[in-house]
Amino acid sequence: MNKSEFLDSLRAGLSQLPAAEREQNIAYYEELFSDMQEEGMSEEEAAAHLVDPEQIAREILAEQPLPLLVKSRVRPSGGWTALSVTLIVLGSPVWLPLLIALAAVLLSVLVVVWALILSVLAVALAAGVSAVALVLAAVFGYLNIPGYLMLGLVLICVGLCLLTGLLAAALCRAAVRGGKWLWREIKKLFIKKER
Amino acid sequence: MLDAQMRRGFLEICVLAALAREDSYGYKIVKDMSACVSVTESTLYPILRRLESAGSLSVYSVEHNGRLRKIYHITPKGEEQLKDFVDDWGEIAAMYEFIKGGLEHEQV
Repeated sequence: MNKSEFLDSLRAGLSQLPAAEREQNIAYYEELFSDMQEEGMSEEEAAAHLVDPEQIAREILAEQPLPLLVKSRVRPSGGWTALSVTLIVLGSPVWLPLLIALAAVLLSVLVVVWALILSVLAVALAAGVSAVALVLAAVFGYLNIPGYLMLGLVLICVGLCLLTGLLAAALCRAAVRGGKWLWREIKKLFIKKER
Repeated sequence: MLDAQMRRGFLEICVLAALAREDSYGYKIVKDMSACVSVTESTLYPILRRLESAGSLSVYSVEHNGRLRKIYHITPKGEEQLKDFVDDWGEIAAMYEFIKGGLEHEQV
């Protein structure tokens, strides 16, 4: 691959970006080529050093804010003509409810996941409070049960508290990771595939 | 392997450190940094852009061999960031010792 092939491929991969933004990226890579060639590398060597332009383009797009990707992705092929706008407005009874439903589903999944985590945390808290209450009750003589039974109950509560606490922490981490992954996947939907 | 977010933060500081020595351009920054951390040209650029929009560095062009070369220059804000990082190092080093101690304790 030579310099112009590399830059063309990069430009094609970045076609979704506003022209000024795209050219800034191109200019950076153009400059790198010049710098490497001054060091005695050939165009091919420089291109090989920079690796795959399509991959680079994908990484640049993934860094862009979602609204920009959506805006460039949903632009009708003929631009925003009166006809395409009319069609979109007329079609709104179809796509608007779908869009709202999709957003509602995502939101409810989010709520369910965090409610689950919260409820596990509540169990942990309840077990912890019970353990303390049992100990206090025993110390002040409110409970008239054998010592070994008491000890067993306290241990069960402490164990339950620790287990559910750890479970809640693990769920929390998984949910955060899952959320990040989902956000990236949503972004990818709006990144055009290479021809 | 460092967590991506953490690595990015460290890379930003490394770039500022490279620029604190002298004004520099893309390819040279990558080469200078390769002494301490391997970073590719394509990872460097988003970092430069972020630092620029945060006001930590400024850009100017000079003519070089009949073309324009973009030179990056650290701003007072960038120097401040660098200084803060070094000042905060005591805290980070303490965390590191604590983490390492925990690991050794586990292995015994």
